[in-house]
Amino acid sequence: MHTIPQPSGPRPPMAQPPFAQPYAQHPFTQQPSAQPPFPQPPARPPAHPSGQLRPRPVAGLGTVTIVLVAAALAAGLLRLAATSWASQVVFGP
Amino acid sequence: MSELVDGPLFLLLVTGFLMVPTALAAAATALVWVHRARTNAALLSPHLRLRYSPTASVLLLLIPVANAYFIGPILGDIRAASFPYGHDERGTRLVRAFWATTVVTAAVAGTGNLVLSAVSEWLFAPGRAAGEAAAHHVTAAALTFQTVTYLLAVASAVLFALVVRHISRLQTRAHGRPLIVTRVTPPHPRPTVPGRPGRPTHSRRRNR
Repeated sequence: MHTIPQPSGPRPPMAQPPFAQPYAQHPFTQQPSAQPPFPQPPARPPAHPSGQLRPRPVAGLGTVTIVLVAAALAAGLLRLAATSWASQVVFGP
Repeated sequence: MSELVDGPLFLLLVTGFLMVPTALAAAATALVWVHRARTNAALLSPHLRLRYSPTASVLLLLIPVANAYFIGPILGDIRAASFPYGHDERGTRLVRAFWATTVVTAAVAGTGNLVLSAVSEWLFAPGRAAGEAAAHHVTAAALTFQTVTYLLAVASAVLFALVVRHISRLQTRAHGRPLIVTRVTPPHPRPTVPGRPGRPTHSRRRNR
């Protein structure tokens, strides 16, 4: 029966493959850098340490603004009609 | 004749009393809205560098004539910062249309007022006997000018209302829920030394 002779004594350390270091340094195999080339926006705005700077609602204030602008326009239309009326009374149609 | 004029004059007086406070209130709320929306925009997009601070945005809109120009960049910045994660084509078109309409309205109103004022001063100057026909023509031209200016103002106001509604919705949607006014307290208040309020216990003097 044929047996393979086993080496005796401590096993020599395995040598590093010669391509390991160049392979890791290849530009296609490198890990992406920690910082992306463009700044990414944070998912949530950071809160101020004082806790006072938080987004406040604008929808209600916007609605009030729109209503007031519409009321001013309606008053302007009435004023224009009154001016036209006065002109017709003074100068005729 | 005087009795006939009483009706339109009374209506002119009443509409004047109605329009001036309403317009002032609308301007004040619009300025408050701009300040608040600009503050929110900076919080929603801290990575963007906006051109005007909230206070500068309000102050620039208070400058006569120049505010017609500054309203465009200010609202454009607020719109862009309120929607930082994509393209907002509708908002861009709304802001540009509102800006163009506002500039045209201001130009037409300013030029028309100057021309009508100059014509009236020349026509009704002392020593010049202006006929009734000339006065009638000037009045008709003034009425036409007022109507055109009013229609332009209506278009500008409608576009401004659309811009306000659009930006308000963007800022509300940015957080995924309606924004709530909260005064947030720090989660872990710093401990203080008894008798010495405000000084933390881990200060250098105490740990020495």
